[in-house]
Amino acid sequence: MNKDKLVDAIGLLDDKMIADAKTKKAHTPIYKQIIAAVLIIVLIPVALFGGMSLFGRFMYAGSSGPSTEYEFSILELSSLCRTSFDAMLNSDVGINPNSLNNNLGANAIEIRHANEMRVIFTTQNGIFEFYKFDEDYIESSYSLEKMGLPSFNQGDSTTLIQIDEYGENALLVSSENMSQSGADISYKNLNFVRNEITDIEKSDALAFDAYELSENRYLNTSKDFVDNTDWLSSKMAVYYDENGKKVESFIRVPKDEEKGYIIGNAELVEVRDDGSYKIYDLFKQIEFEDD
Amino acid sequence: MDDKQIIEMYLQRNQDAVLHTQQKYGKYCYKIAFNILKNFEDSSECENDTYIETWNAIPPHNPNNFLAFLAKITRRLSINKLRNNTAKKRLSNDSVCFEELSECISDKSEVYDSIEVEELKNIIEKFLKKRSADERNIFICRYFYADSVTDISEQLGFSHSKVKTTLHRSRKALKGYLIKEGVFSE
Repeated sequence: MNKDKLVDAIGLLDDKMIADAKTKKAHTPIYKQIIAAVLIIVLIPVALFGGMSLFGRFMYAGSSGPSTEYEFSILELSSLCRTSFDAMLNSDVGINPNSLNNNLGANAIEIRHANEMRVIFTTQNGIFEFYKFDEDYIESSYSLEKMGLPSFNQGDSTTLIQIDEYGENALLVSSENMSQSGADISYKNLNFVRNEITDIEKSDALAFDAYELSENRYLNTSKDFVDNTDWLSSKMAVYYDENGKKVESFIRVPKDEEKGYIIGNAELVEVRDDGSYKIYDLFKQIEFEDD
Repeated sequence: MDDKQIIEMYLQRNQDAVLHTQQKYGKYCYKIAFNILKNFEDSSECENDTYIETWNAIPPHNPNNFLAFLAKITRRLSINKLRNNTAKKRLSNDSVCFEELSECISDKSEVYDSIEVEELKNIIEKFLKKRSADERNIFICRYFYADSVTDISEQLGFSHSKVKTTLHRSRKALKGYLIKEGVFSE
């Protein structure tokens, strides 16, 4: 059904409403300022007298989650992945339900907090974003065709997507036929909201990322997990565990000899600075390896 | 120069009014056009057309709120151009924010097909008045001004998540309200 009438009706809204929306400035509510002040007053002495350990678990619950909170997130994430996959199957952007070989171009997962997470899948023709905040579930799909972009080629062997902190800018790296020594790597910077397409090779900041990738330094500790033609992988969120140690997490999809890449086999890999890692089976919710 | 003085210049047919409008609201109009069109050339054209239309509209009009008056003209011109471009296949996609509004409408409805835009506007206004000021402002920034979620976050001082979640809830609530008002059936 045509939404133009709705768009036109919004264009006629009351002048005051329209003006008010633009004249309201960003502000920090007074109650938040008071809470911040109280926290500072309370936490500084606590930190000075070694009380931080007492509050450690509480503190991390808000940023990355202590181990118990985090396990909960993994379960939630598994559930989100399953819901997301069902939604993809029913989407008109197009996906092969049995095998994601050459359909699943890239994927990314962000766990921001225990109650806030985002899953992104890229298929041959589109990008799917699944966002969960508390009990709200938001599903968005972006058609490459609608964005004026060509579909991924069947020959693309690896693609990578990195979403910025606002979830709006995606760095999409498509390496066409890596078997040809990765010489032909194309980079595109998609902005979902503005629909601008920028050639990142012309951008110094993004060219740095490209350099890092080409040197395989960008993927760094994930090299063993990512630099392997038997896996489709992507870089994901970096966060900190209950001990304040940096954790990089990735999703990877192993290649099935017969069926190609199957989302149901997707795994979440956590890599820590000391080289230890954990692997979670996203769909079966089973943690099966822990170094 | 304040808005009343600029409007007074229009009423006196003083051409400097256009210059002052451009100085004060040029970027504002351009931003609205660009949010919708995503194209520098077309956006500049719409900004300039806004000045011409404003010049032709005042008098007889004497707007109480000049900012909203300009915004409405720019938005309408930009949407017309967007639709024109789409029809000519110069653009393959609609603005993402407007695309989101598809969520608010149901399947075939004779009431929606026959309802006047003005009447629909009244229903939406009633709906927005029942929402909180924050939710209303976020809705208008997104679906009137076609602002990005990031721009709204920065302007209103909310987190990105909050803006996105609020918009999601608003669309859902608007759909429910349109059903309740008989525009759509369940």
